[in-house]
Amino acid sequence: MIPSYYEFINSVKILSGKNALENIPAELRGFEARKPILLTDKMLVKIGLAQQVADACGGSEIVIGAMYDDIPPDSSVEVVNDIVRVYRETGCDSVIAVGGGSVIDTAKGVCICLTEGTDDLLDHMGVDILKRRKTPFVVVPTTAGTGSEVTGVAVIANPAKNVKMEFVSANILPDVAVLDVRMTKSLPPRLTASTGMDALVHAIEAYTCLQRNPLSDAHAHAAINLIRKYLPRAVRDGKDEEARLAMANASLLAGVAFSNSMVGIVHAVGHACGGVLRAPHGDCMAILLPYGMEYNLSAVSERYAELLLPLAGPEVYARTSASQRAEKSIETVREMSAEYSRICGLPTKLREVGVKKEDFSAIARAAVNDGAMIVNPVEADEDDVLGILEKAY
Amino acid sequence: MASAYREIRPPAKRFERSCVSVLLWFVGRGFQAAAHVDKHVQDEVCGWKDGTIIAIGVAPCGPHMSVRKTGNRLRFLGNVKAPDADAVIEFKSLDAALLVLTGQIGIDRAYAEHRFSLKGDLFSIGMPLVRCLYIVESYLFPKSIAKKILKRWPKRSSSGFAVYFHTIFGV
Repeated sequence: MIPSYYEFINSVKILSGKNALENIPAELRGFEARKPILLTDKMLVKIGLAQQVADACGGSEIVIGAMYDDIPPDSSVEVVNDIVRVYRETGCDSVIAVGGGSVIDTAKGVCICLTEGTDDLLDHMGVDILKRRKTPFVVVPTTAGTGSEVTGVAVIANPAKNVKMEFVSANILPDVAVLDVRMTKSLPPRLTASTGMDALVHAIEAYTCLQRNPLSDAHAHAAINLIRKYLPRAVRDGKDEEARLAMANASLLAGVAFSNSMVGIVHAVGHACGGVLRAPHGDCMAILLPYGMEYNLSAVSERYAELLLPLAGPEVYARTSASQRAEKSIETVREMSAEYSRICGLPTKLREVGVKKEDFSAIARAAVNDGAMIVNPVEADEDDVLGILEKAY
Repeated sequence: MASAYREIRPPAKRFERSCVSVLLWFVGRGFQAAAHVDKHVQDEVCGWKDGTIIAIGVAPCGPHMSVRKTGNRLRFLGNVKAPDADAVIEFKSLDAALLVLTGQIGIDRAYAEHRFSLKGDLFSIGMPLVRCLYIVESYLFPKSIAKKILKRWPKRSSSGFAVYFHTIFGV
């Protein structure tokens, strides 16, 4: 069914494949930028990925104005303000973010500050209120899961005021996303599985949330197809370049889908587990997905039935009767999680990632206040979330 | 030489503007009334700092209304956009506001369709505000309309009569 009204945007230029990194200078030239600040984290500096991006700009007029690597796993407003200070001091004119979700969200925060001319992000949190970004912004993801390189969402903590600031706006979409297998080849199997399942959750929730539309559906469908075919290969053999590139594309496709359709209860509960206990996001997603799907089954069973085709492939889809396809999709997701648990130890229960029963009420309270709940197809209150947590424990 | 082209001024939509203004008055007073008589609205509101101001209206300079939290109650401040509001929901057009305020679409559908912007803290103010709106909608709209736009009938602790009475005559 076509929505009576929808909006869709993906203005990000995508460079995908061999020597993609080496085209960053040409892209910056298009924006008349020649002195980017390179944002990354200490681990990526240590394993040489940040330097690899800097080196790829060699032989051009580009000068890396500063490499800022002091970005923690959770983006925070202090770090954003510090980067803005360095950016101004060093006379940079553009931003390159090399990293996972935290580095990319931090970079989005920096771009907001530079565009709005502020050092207080609190004044700019919200939905659809930001001005069009002025700073040229290139993103090089180093995991295949968050999809942040193509999403108009950033979450940045403000520990001093105890606020988790959410920014939702198409105006924070990067200009360029660079998918290069050199950036994800070193991801260990466990992290590959965890981030890949995160991308799968993005696609499944994007396909079933209230904001879904034909264009987000197409991206979600394509993402799930790629994940079915290539995630097992990427987990088993990290050096399989075709699988790595396919997974980077799957993550990006799922990112485009959920940036336009948003995510639902699985993310709301997963964000809450992460917020309350620092439980790893991808692991929580993999654990919670089947339980979230069961919760939503009554409202979106037709959508889940359609997803059996990309999730399980044409043979399974054809031999499953129409009335059983939705349940079969949930079963397929469970089998995928179990398979990655066997191959690389991906957790399948919340207790394995440090969630304790005494934290359930705090998690449930945080989950119902997560913005993802608005577009979930079924309404959920704290009792409903507690039910999901019990099952997933 | 005079230009062959002339300016075209789109209609001012005065009727729609008046309708939105009246409907926002009802929402503001309804909010105040629901917070007065309904425990579930009070529970949602009690997490906000005292003095928190919520404004709802039409961007950029259409009709607005504001309410302020005092204790665990809300006070209607009138058809104004309070300049120091902590959270501001602004519909992108008069027509978008009418879709929501006349019960043609719910607040969640309006969010999904990008019909409004929200300035402020989505976690601590935005989501409780959305749940309050579900309850207020369930009181103010006829049941047949409310059921159509709500994903689930919200928990309530008062009657439609009490909310309507306090909406019209004040608290």
